[in-house]
Parts: sequence; structure tokens; C-alpha cells
Amino acid sequence: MSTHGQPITICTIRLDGQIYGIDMLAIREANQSTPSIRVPGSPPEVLGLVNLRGSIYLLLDIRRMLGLPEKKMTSDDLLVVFRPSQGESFGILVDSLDETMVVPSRLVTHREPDSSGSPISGIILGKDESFSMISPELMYRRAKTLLGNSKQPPVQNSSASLEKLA
Amino acid sequence: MEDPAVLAEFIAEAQEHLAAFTVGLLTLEELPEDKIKDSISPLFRAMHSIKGSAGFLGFHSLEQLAHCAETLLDGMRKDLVKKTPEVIDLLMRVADSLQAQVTGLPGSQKHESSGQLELLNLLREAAKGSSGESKSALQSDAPAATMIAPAVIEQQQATVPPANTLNSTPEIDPALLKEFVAEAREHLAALSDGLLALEEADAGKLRGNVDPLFRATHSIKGSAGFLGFKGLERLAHSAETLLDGIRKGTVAVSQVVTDLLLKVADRMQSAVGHLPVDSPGDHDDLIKKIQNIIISGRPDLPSPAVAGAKTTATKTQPTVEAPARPDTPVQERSATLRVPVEVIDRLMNLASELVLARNQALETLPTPPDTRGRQLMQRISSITTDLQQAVMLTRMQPVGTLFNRFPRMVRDLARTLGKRIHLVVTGSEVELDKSVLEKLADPLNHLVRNACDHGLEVSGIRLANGKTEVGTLELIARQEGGQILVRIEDDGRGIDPEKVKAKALERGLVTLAELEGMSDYQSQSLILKAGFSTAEKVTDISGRGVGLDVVKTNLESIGGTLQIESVPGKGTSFSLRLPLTLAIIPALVVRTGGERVCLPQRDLVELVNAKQNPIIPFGDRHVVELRGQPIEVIHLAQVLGLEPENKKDFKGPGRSGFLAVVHSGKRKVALVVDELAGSQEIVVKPLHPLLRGLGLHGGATVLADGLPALILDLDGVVRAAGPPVLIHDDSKATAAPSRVQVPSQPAVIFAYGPEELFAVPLSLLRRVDRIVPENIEKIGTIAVARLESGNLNMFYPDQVLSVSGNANPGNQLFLLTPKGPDLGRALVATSILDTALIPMVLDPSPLVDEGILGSTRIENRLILVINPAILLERISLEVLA
Repeated sequence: MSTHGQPITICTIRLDGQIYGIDMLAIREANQSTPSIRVPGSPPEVLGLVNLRGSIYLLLDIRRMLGLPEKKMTSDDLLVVFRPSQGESFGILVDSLDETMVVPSRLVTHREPDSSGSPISGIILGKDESFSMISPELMYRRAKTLLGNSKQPPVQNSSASLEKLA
Repeated sequence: MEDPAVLAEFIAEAQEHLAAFTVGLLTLEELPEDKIKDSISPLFRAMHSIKGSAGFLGFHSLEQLAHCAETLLDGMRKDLVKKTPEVIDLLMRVADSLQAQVTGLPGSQKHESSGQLELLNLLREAAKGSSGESKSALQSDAPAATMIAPAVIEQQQATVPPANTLNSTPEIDPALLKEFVAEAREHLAALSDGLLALEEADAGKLRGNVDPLFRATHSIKGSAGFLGFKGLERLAHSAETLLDGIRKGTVAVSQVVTDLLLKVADRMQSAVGHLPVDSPGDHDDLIKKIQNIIISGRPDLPSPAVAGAKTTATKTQPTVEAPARPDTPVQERSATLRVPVEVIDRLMNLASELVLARNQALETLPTPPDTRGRQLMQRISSITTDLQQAVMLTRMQPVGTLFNRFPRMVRDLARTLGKRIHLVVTGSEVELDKSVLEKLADPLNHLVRNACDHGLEVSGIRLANGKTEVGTLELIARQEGGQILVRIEDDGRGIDPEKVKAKALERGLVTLAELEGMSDYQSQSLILKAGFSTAEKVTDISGRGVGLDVVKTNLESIGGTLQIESVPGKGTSFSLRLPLTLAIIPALVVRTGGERVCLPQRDLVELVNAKQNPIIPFGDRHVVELRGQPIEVIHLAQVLGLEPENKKDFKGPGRSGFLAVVHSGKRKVALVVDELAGSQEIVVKPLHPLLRGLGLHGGATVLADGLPALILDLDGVVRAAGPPVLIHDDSKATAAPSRVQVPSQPAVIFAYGPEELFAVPLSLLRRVDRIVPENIEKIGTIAVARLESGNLNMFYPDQVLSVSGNANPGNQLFLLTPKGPDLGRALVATSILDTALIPMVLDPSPLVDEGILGSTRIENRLILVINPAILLERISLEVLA
């Protein structure tokens, strides 16, 4: 992502009025959300699947990962889809996308990586405002851990013959 | 080092050449001595190409080996080396070694292994031929060319006397050099290919073939001169002059001339690889030879006429009928294009998405009010269909890519087993979808090995039984209707039904009662059961008896079937039938626990109304009784976590659902679903990798309303439900479901023509009109019906389906207009019989075609159930295209 010393470009999003920042380079697109479906059998961190122009994206629940209260999905939500480098075809729903800002690196403090599973990767301390940085990559990793230990009865590598058809 | 893309390309090409080489070598092995000439050329070309490209990229070890092999082959071509089993074996070893080295790139090129040195020696010895003295023109160069690393030094040493020896290494901009090298390589590649084609060309086509060669050499000369590479320039200039002479007819094309030109091309390749080291006298040896030829106007050795199949025999050519050449190198090059798989996959995805979008557009957009608008919609729609089908074709690959490993495998197996087996392969050009091919590989492997190991007998036994000494194994591929048939047939010992029955009994796979009344065919099919094997001992060739049932299930996972036919003592044939394409499957959409999921139609056995079939508690689970058989019930919503677990009381009549009886492996289970939401043809999209671990879903799709939906992985769901509660005995055949039990839909039954009966579900039909001949007008090839409500273009089922035509065109007809946008089209029927209830879930149709939903029987007559909208679209494409 950002090279040490270089300024980074951040997009800020809002969740329940709170501002969070995401590295712009991690974002592929932001779009009006379309109806989604649940994924039966998946942990709550998986919000569902959504169809965007014919491609199916996985929605992860950023609110839950941040410990925010649950919110019903509405058509006003914005769908933010991340680049494949962050994790395969996934995105999140946010309330709004605020602005893009260039932040000098000295204002960015990164968090020590730990195993808490939190998607917060650091904090930006500005003159007037401060906010946390969300890392999509951390989100994806958390989801991976959760889905690896799903609560379903232990299954062998499922034959999933259909998947190989496409 | 080398650009990884270039390396990958080289590896891919080299492997192709090696594959072709191996196949050609095996063919060569079988040919009589006097017929080998034409078969050697492709082998020679393959080695030459590998050598050339390897040289470019500095892979000296590969280059050497290929060069020596090339020399040997050249010797064979010229009758200097006899084709013996030792020679063939040696060439096989070369192919293996090349293969190993290619896969080991980019390492393994620095040092010569001792194995390589041994091979090289053997090759050189063999190339000396029966006369003990090498006459091959190429061979004479061998000492200099075969050791590439010291070659530079040697060349420079050898050329000290002539020309000035100042080692002029021009100062050169590396970028410029790189560009020159890249361009030169391209030209040299064209040159090499062109030269090989030249050898075989008609005298009449000469000019056309020489011009590009001339141009290529000319370009190299020009650029080399510009950059100050005098040595290369001079060589290119000589070659250019020679080619000009050929062009003008002052120099006759002969094998010696083309040999020399090939050598020149090789030398230029090597020189380009050593740039910027270049000195003017580097190539004087070749230049001298060229000059000799130009001066004399004829090659300086007595020559046969142009080697090739097309020229009529001259005195020196032995009269041999040339076996038909299946390909020419020039044509090969331009007919195909190499495209990365990812690009094709992306094309496929885009095409599928376009189809979905088109479907949604047709459903949601209002019908355009004017003809132009309607025609436009129609056009977009038909182009979409065509595009999708065309893209599907890009994924088609010839089954030959699978078949071509078998000649070698069978040969080696035969040797190991001490048997004599002749393999005949037919239909290599038949094409299959890439993913089907991938799944076919293992089953094919298994069946071929089986046939060699168990099917075919040793010569002694064959002769004793009055058979030919050499056993025959046939691999056949052909298209049959909407399926591809792949058959493995042997003339071996066949399958003895009695022996099979005995073994099956012994293994507890059947009971005596079941064996009674079993036909021979059924008995033989017992070998497909798990746990079966008549092999006395487990050999590591075909392994244990688990083989065939795994083959069968593998096949079924791609929608294929396996059939065995065998006559004891005479032989056996295994027939595999496969669908042409995979990615779009019919599925049943159901609701359960408030969510929609898709069940692949292929896994669906039948639909059962929960109200009519009692569901009985069974411990802490449930079973449903279906025609006297208990079938385990799985509460889908619970397994999927959509409803709390352990809800013991089954849904009362107020919330009755359907039960979908499905296959899972060998079991049948009944899934409780709340609602049926129709069947659709869905595009299978891969499941998100994170979700695979759940083991419940096999893929995803987007339904016609634009919402995504998950496709159930039935095996996974069944596993998740827990261990089976019933002990399964699937040899008890269940009778075909009676109509009453199955949910049904009303349909119109009609006839078209004297033979076939059709049905259209009412849900797909908007209107039926009657029309008399007076109100039918013809406009070009289209018949238009004039009705009070407007005009309708009339389309006939036999325009697009393989059914009989209308025998009595003069009578009244009926027009069926489908639901959907009003496109002014109707399907013609000759008579309307009735409306009747047909099942929701249909039998497979004997006629597999787009627009045919399936078949059913009423009073034992076969009825084809169709979707008129799809048929009409297809017909209109044909007619209006």
C-alpha cells in the first residue's frame, strides 16, 4: 500500500455518523447497492451476496467487525468493492462516502498487527479531526478465519462438483 | 534474464513440438523401411524448431540435443541411417530428455549432465549410419555446432586467416541492440519456417514462397549493417543473393540448397544470440558455400529433385506413394491463435452475463411500440444468443489432446505386460468443452489401462483361441445428437457374466434373488459396483477394484453416462456419453426458510407433495414413505441454518411444503422445501472461495430477476445433515412414479406433422389461433398469417427441430403465440389435441435441443414438451439471419 514517507490518499466513509478512512488504492469502486441475499450456513460476519453487473460479490459485515450495532440494509446504502489484492471479489456496505483527502505520512500511525481480528489498521491524527483506518485486507483475513472454523458439522472437502463446471 | 512471458511461450511451444514428435515417432515405428521418408519430415521440423528457439534463448543443452537428433533424423531421411528399434528407442530417449529439460527451465541449462553426454554420443554414432561414414550435409558441421559454448571461440579461431580479424565489438546502445535482436529473431523464425515449406513446395508456388524469405534476409542484412555487425551483414547478404537467384530461377531449389539455407539460418540465429560480438570474417565458410552454388547455378552435388510429396518422381526418387499429408506447415501457422485461458474465461463470463442481462431486459422492458424497435430488440437478442454459443465454442478443444498420450502409454504398457497391442484412434478432431475434457482424463486413463491389463490377452492365449496375435484397442470419439460418444473397445477376453455374478455374490454386493432373471448385460454391469474386482491380484497398473465405480461417478458428475457391452471371448466396449457443454444447467428454484436456492435438475429425482405422503418420525429424524419405500427426510432449512435446529415437530398442513427427492451419491433423500419457485436454466458461476469451506453450496448464479442465488451442493448438504439413518439397499428397483403423486402443470397437447406430438405448458402460452389457408400470405420465404388481431409470422417446428414436416399443407393450421414480448411470431401446429396435466418434472427428451424442456408420456405416447418462445427465437434466427 503506501510507501513509507509517501503521502497516502484516503477515502472517508461514514458508518453511523462515524468517519473511517480507507486507502483509496484499495478501493475498486463504490456503487449504489443492489438487493442482496443471505448465505445460509455462514457466520454473521458474512452479510451476503450481491449482484453487480452480473458478477457476484461477497458482502462482509464491517459493522459487526467494528462492534457497531446492527443495522438493516436499505437501498440508501453504498456498496464499496475492493480490489482483488485485498481479497477476492468482496465489498462492504457503508452509509456514505464522504471525501477523498491526501494525508501526509507523518499523520498516519499504524497499529501493531495482532490476532484480535479487528479491521482497524491505524489512526490518522489530523489538526481538526482524527479517525481510524480500516484495512480491507484485515477484514478479509478475519472472514477467512471465521469461515474456516464454521459451525457446520465437520465436512470433508466437499465434492462441489458444480463449482468446477463454471 | 529472459522475460518470463517469453520463457513460458517457449516452454509451451516446445512441449507441443515434443508431443507431435512423440506421436510421429510412434507412427514411424510401425512403418516399413521404404515408406518412412515422409513421416520423418515432421519429426525433423519439430526438432529443428526446438533447436532454433532454444538457441535463441541461450538454452545450449537443449539446442545441442535437438541438433544431434535433427542430424540423426536427417540421416534417416537420406537413407544413410536405417530405421531400427534401437534408433527409435534412442529418439524416444531424446524426447524424454528434452521434455525433462524443458520442464526444468530455466535451470538445468548451465551444465551438461553426464546422461546428456551419453545421449549425444549415441546420437552421433547412430548418425554415422550404416556406411560408417557421415554424408549428411548437416553432420559435417556437427563438431562446430554441437558444442555451442566453445563455438564462439572456435569460430573466431577458425576464421583468423580470412578477412581482418579485428574483433570489432561495436559500441552499441543496449536498447537498440535489444530491439534489433528481437526483430532479427522474428525474421529468422519466419525464415526457418519458410525454408521448411520451400522444401515441399510445388515448383509453381516457388516464387510466392521465396519472396518472404528474401525480405526477411534483406531486413536482417539492413539492420545488421546499420548497427555495424559486419559478420552478420555479410552472411545475410550472401543468403539474400542466393534467394534472389532462386526467385529468378537461376538457382535450382534442391535439398542441398535448402540444407545450406537452413544452416545459414541456424548460424544467423546463433550469431544473433552472441551479439554484440561480431566480426566480419565470422561466417566466411558458409558464404563460400553459398557463392559456389550461385556461381554454378546448380548445387555442387548431384541432387534429387525437390523432396516432397507433390513433384512427380524423377529418376532418383524411389517410387513410393506418399501417404496423404494431413497438414502443411504454412497453413498450420495461420489457422490458430494462442490465447491465454484467462482471456477465454473472461469472454465466457461476459457472454453469460450478457445472456442474463438480455433475459432480464426481455422481462422488464416494455415492448417497443414500433416495428423498428421490436426488430432491434430481436436483433440484440439473437446476437446475444449467437455470441454466447460462439464463445462456448472457443472453449472447445479437440479430444485428441487427451488421446495423444495413449499411443505412448499403450506401447509402454504392452511392453511391460509382454503383450502385443495395436491402438487405433479415431475421431481425435471431435471437440469437447475444456472442463469436460479435464474430467474425462482420469476415467479414460483408467479404462485404457484396464483394457490393456485385464481385457487383452497375451499373444499365446490369443493364438490358442484362434484370434490374431496382436490385440486391438480402439479409442473412438464421435458426436451423436447432443452428446459426444467416447468409446474404448478391445477385442480381448470379454466379461464373463457368470464369473461376475459369482464374484458379486461373494463380495456381498448382490443377493441370489436379484441375480435371478438378470440379463447378461445387467450382470456385466455389476462390475461397476464399488468393491468389485475380478483381478486375482492387485497390480499397480490398474489398482484395486474400486476403479470402475469411481469412473462412473466421475462421469456422472459431469452429466455423463457409462455403458458396458461385452461378448465373452470376443471383446468389450465401454461407452462414455458426455454432454456438449456444461456451464448452463437446468435447475429447480425452491424456497426454504425464507431464502431461495437452486437444485440442479440433474440431481432431482421427483417432487412429492408432503400432504399426500405421510412423514413418519424415526428416532430424532424423519422418513417419508414413497411407494412403500422409506426415504430419509432432511429439513433443508435447518441444515442450512435458516431455522433453529432440533425442531422436532414437522410442519403441519398449514405450512405444507414439497419434498424434493434428490440423489446424493447412491442415496436418495427427501428435502423439505417450502415453495417451488419454478425451473430455470442457470449460468453456473464459481462459488466465492471463502464460502467453499461451508460445504453447502456448489456455485452461485444470478436469476432472471437479477438477484443472486446459491446453488446447493447436495452431497455437502446431505453430509451436513448427519450420518444416514437408513441402511441403503439400492438394488431394490423402485417403479416409475405414478402420475398422481407428482405435481403437475396444465399444458396444451398438439401435433405437428404426421408423427410427433408436442406439449406447451400453459404458463408459457399466450394464445392459440386457428388459421385457414386463405388467410396465409407468403412474403419471400416467410408465411404470414392475417388475423383480426394483427399479422403473425408463422414458424414451423421442423425449421429448427429434427422432426417430420407437415404432410398436408393445404389444411387449416393452428398458431401458438408464446407469452412474453409481442414479437409477432407464432409456432404452427397441424392440430390441437387436448389440454392435459403433465408433470412439473419431465423425463429427458430423446431429442436434445434448445427449446425442448423434456418429454413425458400420455397413454404411452411420447410427447415432447417445448418452450415456444425459445423455439421461435431460434427459428427466426435461421430465417431472418
